Amino acid sequence: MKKYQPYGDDALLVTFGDQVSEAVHLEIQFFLKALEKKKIAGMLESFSAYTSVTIQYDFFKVSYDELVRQLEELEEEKMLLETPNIVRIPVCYHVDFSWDMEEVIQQTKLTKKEIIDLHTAPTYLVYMLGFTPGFFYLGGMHEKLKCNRRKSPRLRMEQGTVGIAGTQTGVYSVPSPGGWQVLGKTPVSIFDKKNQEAPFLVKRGDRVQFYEISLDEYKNVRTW
Amino acid sequence: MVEVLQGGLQSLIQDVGRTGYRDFGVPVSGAMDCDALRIANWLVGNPLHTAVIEMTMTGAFLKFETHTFIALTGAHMNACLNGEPIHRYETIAVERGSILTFGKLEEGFRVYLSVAGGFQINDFLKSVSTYLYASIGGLNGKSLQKGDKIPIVENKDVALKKLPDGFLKGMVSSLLKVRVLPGIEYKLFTEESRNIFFQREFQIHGDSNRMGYRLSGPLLEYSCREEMLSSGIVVGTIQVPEDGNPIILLADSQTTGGYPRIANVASVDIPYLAQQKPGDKIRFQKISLKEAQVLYFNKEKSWGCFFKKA
Repeated sequence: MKKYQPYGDDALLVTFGDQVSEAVHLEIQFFLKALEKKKIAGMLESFSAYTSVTIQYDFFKVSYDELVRQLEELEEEKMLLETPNIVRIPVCYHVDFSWDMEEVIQQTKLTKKEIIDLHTAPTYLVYMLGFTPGFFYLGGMHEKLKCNRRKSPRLRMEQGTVGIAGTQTGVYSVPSPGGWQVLGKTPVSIFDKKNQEAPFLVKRGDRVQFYEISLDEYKNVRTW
Repeated sequence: MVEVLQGGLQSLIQDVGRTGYRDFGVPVSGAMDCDALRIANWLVGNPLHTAVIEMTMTGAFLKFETHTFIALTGAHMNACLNGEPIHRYETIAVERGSILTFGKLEEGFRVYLSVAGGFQINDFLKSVSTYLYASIGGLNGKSLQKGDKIPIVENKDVALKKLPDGFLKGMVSSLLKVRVLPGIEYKLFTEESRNIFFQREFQIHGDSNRMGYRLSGPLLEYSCREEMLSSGIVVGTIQVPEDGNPIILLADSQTTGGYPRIANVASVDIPYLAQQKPGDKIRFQKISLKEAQVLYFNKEKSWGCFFKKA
C-alpha cells in the first residue's frame, strides 16, 4: 500500500514499504514506468530510493491534492519489465588496490580467493543511485562477506575504488571520503564527465556483475 | 571576456540548477539565493535564469576586457569599479579595461554578478552550475582562479535599471525567522524536542557550506531509535543526525540521506537563509503547506508583475 506525504512545500514522498526487498523495488519500477508514460502536468522530477520515490512539483500548475489524486489513478502494468540490463564491471583485486584485504580476511575468516569468488558471483540489483553522481546502491551481497566499516574513514577514496561494508558493496564514482573496506579498483568510469550524452554507467533496476582482471588488464582498460 | 585577477574565497558560476538527474545521484546545485540571481539578470536584460557568478564571503577581482553592463545583487561587499564605490541593485555600465574589486563583507553572505548577454560556458547535463564535489559545471568544475578567462556573449546596449527602494524589505536581520513545514519523520522526535525546535535559537556553525548549514543549539532527540533507510532529499530538508544537531540541506546536498527529517524550509525563505553566514542565529516558525505555498505564490505573483512591467 502506497503512502503519500507532503515533503516541504513543493515535493511529495511516496513510500512503498519499510523493508528493502526486490518486491518493493519492483513496485517502484512499475510506478515510475507508469509515471513516465502519463506525464502529469506540473510534475518536475522524480527520484527513487530503496522504498520511496520523491516527486518535485510546481504548485503553480498542480496542487498537492490533485497530484496525489493523479498518482493514485496511475495505471501500472504489473508485469515484468524488459530483461534487466546487466552491466559487467572489471575489478582488479591486486594487492596494489586491495588495501583492506587483510582486514576483510580477518573479519570474514575467508581466503582472498574465496572473497573474490563470493564478490564476483552475484548479479547484484541496483536499488538506487545517490551519494555522489552515478554512485549505485547494490543489493545481493553474500552474507559471508559481511564486515564492519573502517574505524576511521579515509579522507580520500579515488574514483573506481571498490569496497564493502555491512551487507553493501559498491564503487566510488568521484573522489570522496569513505569508510568502506577497500577490496580493489575498477579501471572503468561509473561517472564519466567527458561523456556528455551518457555519463552514467548504470541506472536504477540494472544488474551489476563484477569480474576479476589482472593488473596488466587494469592498466590497459583504464579509461580515466 | 572577463579576466579573473583574484578568485576570492569561493566564486562559482551558477544558474538555477541542474534538474532531472537526481535519479542518477546528481544534486541540483545552482545559485543558493535564486532571488538575487533573478534580479541580477533582470537588471542587465538577461533571461532571468541566466548563469551568474556567486561569490561567498569575499569577492573576486575581475577585469573586463570588453565594454559591457553588469549588476550586483545579494550581499553588500563594498564593491568598487576602478576604485570608485558602486551600488548594488542597479545596472552599471562598464568600460573596457575596468577592474571590479570587493572589500569587507557588510551584510548578507553571497554576492551575485550578472553580465549583459551572459557568460559563454559549456553546459553539463543541461546546466552550467558548478558542483565542486564532483568537479562538474562552471569552469572545469572549479571555483574561479587567478588567470581564468570567462568569455561573455556579445551584447547590445541595455537600458539602465534600478530596483525600487523597499523591494527587498526584510531581507537581512540579525535574527532570522525561518518558516518551516513539519518534516517526514517529524513525529519520530520527542515532544520536548519538537517544542524546543520552534522555541529556541540555533546558530549557523562554521562548518557550513553549499551542501548544508550545520546548526548548533539545543540537541534534538528521537523518541525511538530505528535504523532508517536512505530516502530522497530535497533542498531545504532539515535532517538530524544522531548527535542531535540539525543540518539544513541546501543546493549541493546529496540526493539521498538516511537521517530523520524534522522539517523542511518553506521555498520562500530559502534565499534569505542562503544570505545568512556562520555565526548568525536563526529561529524556526511552523507554518502549514497551504501557508507556505500562498507565501511563495504571492511573492512570485508580485515579482512576476514587476519584472514584466518594468
